[in-house]
Amino acid sequence: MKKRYIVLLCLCGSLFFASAQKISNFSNSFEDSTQQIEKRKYDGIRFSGYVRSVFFYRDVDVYELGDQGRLTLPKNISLGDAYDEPIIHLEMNASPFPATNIATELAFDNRLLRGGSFNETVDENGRMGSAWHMFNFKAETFTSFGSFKLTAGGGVNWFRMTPLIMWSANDFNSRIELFDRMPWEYQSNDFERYSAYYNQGDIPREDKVGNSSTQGVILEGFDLPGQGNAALVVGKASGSAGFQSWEDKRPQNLMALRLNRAFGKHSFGVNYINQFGHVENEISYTKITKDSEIYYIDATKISQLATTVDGLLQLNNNIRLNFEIGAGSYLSQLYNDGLKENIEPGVENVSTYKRNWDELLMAEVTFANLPIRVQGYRIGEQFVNFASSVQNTSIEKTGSAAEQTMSNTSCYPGLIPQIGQTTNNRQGINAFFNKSFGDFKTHAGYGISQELTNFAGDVRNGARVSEFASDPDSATIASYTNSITFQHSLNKLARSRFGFWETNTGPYSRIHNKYRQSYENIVITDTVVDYKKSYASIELELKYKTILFNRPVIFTNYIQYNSVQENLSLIPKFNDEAFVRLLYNEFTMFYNIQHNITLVGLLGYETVQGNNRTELANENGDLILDENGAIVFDENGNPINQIDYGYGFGIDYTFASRASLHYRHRWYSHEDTHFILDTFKGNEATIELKIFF
Amino acid sequence: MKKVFILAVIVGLAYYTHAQNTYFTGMGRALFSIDEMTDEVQPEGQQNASSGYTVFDLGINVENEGLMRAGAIIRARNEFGGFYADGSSTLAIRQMQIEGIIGNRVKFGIGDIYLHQTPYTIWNFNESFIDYEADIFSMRRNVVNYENYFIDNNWRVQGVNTETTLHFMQGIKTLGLQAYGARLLESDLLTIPDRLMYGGRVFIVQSDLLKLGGNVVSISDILGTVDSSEVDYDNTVVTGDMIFQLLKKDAITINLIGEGGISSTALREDVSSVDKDKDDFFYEFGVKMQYAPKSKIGLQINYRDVGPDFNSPTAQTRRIIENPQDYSLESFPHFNDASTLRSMTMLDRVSQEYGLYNGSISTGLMDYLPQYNNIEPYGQATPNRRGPSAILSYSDSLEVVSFTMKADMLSEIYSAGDTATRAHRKFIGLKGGVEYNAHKTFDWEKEVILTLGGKYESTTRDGDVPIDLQTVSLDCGLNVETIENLHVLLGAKVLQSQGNEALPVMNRLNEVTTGTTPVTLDLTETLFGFGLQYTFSNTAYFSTQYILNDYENLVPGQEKYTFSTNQWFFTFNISF
Repeated sequence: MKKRYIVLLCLCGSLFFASAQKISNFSNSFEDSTQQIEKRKYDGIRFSGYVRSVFFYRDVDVYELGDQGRLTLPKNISLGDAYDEPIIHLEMNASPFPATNIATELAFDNRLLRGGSFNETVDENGRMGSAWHMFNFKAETFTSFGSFKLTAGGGVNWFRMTPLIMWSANDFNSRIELFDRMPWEYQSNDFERYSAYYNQGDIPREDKVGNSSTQGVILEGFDLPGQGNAALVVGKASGSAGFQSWEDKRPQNLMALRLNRAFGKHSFGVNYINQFGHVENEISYTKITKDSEIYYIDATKISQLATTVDGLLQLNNNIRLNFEIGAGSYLSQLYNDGLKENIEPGVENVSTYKRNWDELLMAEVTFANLPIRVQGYRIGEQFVNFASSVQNTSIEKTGSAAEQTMSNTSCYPGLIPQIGQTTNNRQGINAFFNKSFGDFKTHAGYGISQELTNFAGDVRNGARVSEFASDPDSATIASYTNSITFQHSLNKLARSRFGFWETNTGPYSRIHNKYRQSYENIVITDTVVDYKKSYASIELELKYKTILFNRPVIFTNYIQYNSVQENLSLIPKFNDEAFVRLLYNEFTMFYNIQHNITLVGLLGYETVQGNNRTELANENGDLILDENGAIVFDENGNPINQIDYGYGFGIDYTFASRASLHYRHRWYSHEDTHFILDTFKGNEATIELKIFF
Repeated sequence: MKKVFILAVIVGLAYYTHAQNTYFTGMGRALFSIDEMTDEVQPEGQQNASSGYTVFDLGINVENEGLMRAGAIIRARNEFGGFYADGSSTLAIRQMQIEGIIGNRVKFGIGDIYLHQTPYTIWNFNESFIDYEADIFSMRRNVVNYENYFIDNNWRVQGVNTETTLHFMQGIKTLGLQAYGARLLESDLLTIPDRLMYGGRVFIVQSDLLKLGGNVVSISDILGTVDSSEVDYDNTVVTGDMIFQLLKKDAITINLIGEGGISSTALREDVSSVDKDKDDFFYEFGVKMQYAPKSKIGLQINYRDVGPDFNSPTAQTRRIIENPQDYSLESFPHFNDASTLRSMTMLDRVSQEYGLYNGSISTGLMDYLPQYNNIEPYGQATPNRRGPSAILSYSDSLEVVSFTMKADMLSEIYSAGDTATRAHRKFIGLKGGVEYNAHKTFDWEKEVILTLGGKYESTTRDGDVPIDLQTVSLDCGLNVETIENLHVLLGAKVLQSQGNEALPVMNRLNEVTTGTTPVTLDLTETLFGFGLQYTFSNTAYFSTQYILNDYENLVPGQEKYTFSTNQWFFTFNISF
């Protein structure tokens, strides 16, 4: 039967094909699934982007390599710098209607057969295509109430409000040496990059430096009644619930609000942020029996909350004061102030824990006629806000997943801040000085700070203990809770690739790696702790530009010294009074031998020394522990004594107006004369081809 | 691989036809929600989730002087909660089409094609009464329809479609011909053969008085595509339809309308040794009257008889899956004990994009939930139905008020599930709604629109297996424009269903072979939403909503399956 129909249809089709009169051409009747509205033929989409191909070679003799499906072997030949930066980066931008905008960034990668556990879109041949950083839609409207701009989507919606509310994420708050090329390097003659650093002290960077990454909706209002402005963010932030929370629809969200207005030369703002939610999808209320009544607590609720007032005061023609003041709170089942007073029994009266609040204060004074800038800050220990510029040094267990009781890789206990960085549980002063003497430019920085509370003995911290004791008692945990975290400034990119986004790794389980950064945590073994750790830092940068054989050359030298000691000290300690003292020196040279060719050189040196009150190694180089796994003092032990070297050279060759080639080769070594397992030596090279279109 | 091939064809055609014009279409959407649920299974807790995505569909079209067009829609998507594309991001080809005109005569389409014919041949029917759904809910449903390729009553299939229209000087005015073929099921190269659908339609406009149509649609398994086929399914539906103008005078038009046809189904199953043929017929005829001096008043009275074995998969396939074994709920699929499956709700039905809706043609009659649609679970072509229907409609010339009311008085033709007394179900249905544009009445510049819809269904049967199921559902909505382009949206839905049913259990040939599944219902569902919508342009808007959903189960012993959900919802949509 069906064959007959087929024949019949074919016959009919042939007949009408032969005899049918001309029918009208189709216009926009093309039935596609976007055709639920009347279509117009839009051809205004703009494409731009770059091709960035990085050939990577590494040969290192290292103590330990992490997994994460990246560089897992000492010798590597690969494409990319192992941080998922795309080979082809395609930006598409369209404004189909007035005051509307669509923007996407698509990333295409090929990892030369290297898989990516991080990104599941990599196929069996190592190829990847994905929506990248920016992926949002914008629309604006102009009304008699003011103008409004709506941004929705993610990717990432880059945004910032104030340093304590929403600012640069902490991965990007550290100084970056200029020898290494960054994925976000812009298009230019490369010597202009070094000249910008020489002239302004910085180079252009992409949005993620200086902004926080959010998803969801951003509504901005301008010129509102009363000449005010407003911004509302609803969604998620990458620091608190970003990565891979889509897998379990983790209920952690963000709401932030800012209202601000100018008053003549001055301006003031009111700000609020709450990153709130639960650590699990399924919640069972915690039952608490009190006075024979049963109270129900939503104990798995977490919240990073802060509210501030900020202002800019032009005190006179020469002095300007920026300030932000407020209160912040971190709430979880581990960090709270107990039950609320007005709690009522019964499941219908579910309550949450009462918050602990702490103070927030930041201020900066700048002078129009003096090359000096002075900052002061006091950030309470209960303030945790991963969307802000404040580093968390006090609360380790802020994990946003179900394992809330695990430590979070965004905690840096007892961090030695780089000058200009702010941390919680800390008060301090920073000062900066800039002065030029002809072609000779100087920059000096000074910072002192002191923690507000020493968390020694607070067994909610001390997560490193799990590396040495499977079932530790509180005394054992407590031995890990008075510690110092310092940042390796030299060779940090190479170090970070030994184990990606890992904490408590390395031969002594004290390495903490983040995006292109590497930290190390050292425990203080004091059993009686009646002090607050104090920090002192100085830095000096010298830059000189001259002509050598008729071509410009720039020399820079940056030196930084930090110490951590028991008592507040206005001057860094240079002896064993300091628990830890760190010296870093970096000399770089940029020689523009031709207009389009620049030679780059680096010499670096870093030492870190501890005193006998920090964790110690025995004569075999083993960490000294007691029988329970607690880190303890031993009069025969020796503290850390690290020496790092790094030196390298490179060539930048701009062979076309929008295309360039870059070669870098770096040799590096690290050793600790006492913790002898802590050693590595190696070299790595990259050849980067970057073409903009 | 196939998509790569089609893409290559598109590129090739673009070069071959010396493409004159490249243009883009697009749809972008950012959507996320924050959900909470409490239930009586584990009252000492709750469930929470937040989810969403950003998606952009870029349609790339290459056209050559109106003679050839090749189009592809590329989709980029990133999940809410997946920063920097960390495993949550996808790039995909959503749609591929090539369209053209052969010899200035025959229009063709290849690739993803959208087909519909008549309600008894190819018809993707709406699963519930939604003509007068509140805007706050229809906004969500539009997203679901878009994601599932539901455009009007079309089924999206992959194949080829050709059509042409002939114009004649005498005898008849026009004659249209359509022929198509598509693959419904892909062979697994082992035991499941390719399944094809093919057919066509001839449509004759003799004059304004008479319009005739002939339809045929077939589905066949192609046995040669596998070495050892376990199943051989064949189905053909042949129908004829007509519109005859009985009277047209002044503002009065009276048409006789009707469609009738047969179906023939053959199934061979090696596994169950089934080798059967089923033939049956249907007919529906009626009169359609319209009085339109300025306002339009319409009345249509039909009678239909759809045989119990009438089998038309492309008209009877449901777009929503209601068998709990086959669908998966995205939001809180379990109660808070993490093991007990919760029931589907009206919120799921209007908002869940994947896992609940069906995009393929089913040769068997799919399971359904009687509280949502017990009279016509398989659309107008629901088999085993007989009886009259009437539709009354009104709309004034200024479109201030429009309403529709439909009544069904149907009964079964054979007793499904009552083998002893052979009693027949009787169905009474009443559904309708009204849309009132209040701003036009009061001459307000800003829109104030009220919608009200409702449905009543009664199913009764005497005999050994008595049935008495009564279901009432209401939907009301309010859309108020406050300041320019800013709309306040309110909506409420209520569904109440009480009684019992005995759902027939059918085999693959739609025969009731293993009795019935008794169902007892005493439930009340309420859905209440309020929100804001701001329209930046005709096709760009932002909306935020708060939705409350209560599902109350009062069947003795099932009270603990009562639960509530609430949702914050945000979306931004733009298309061009």
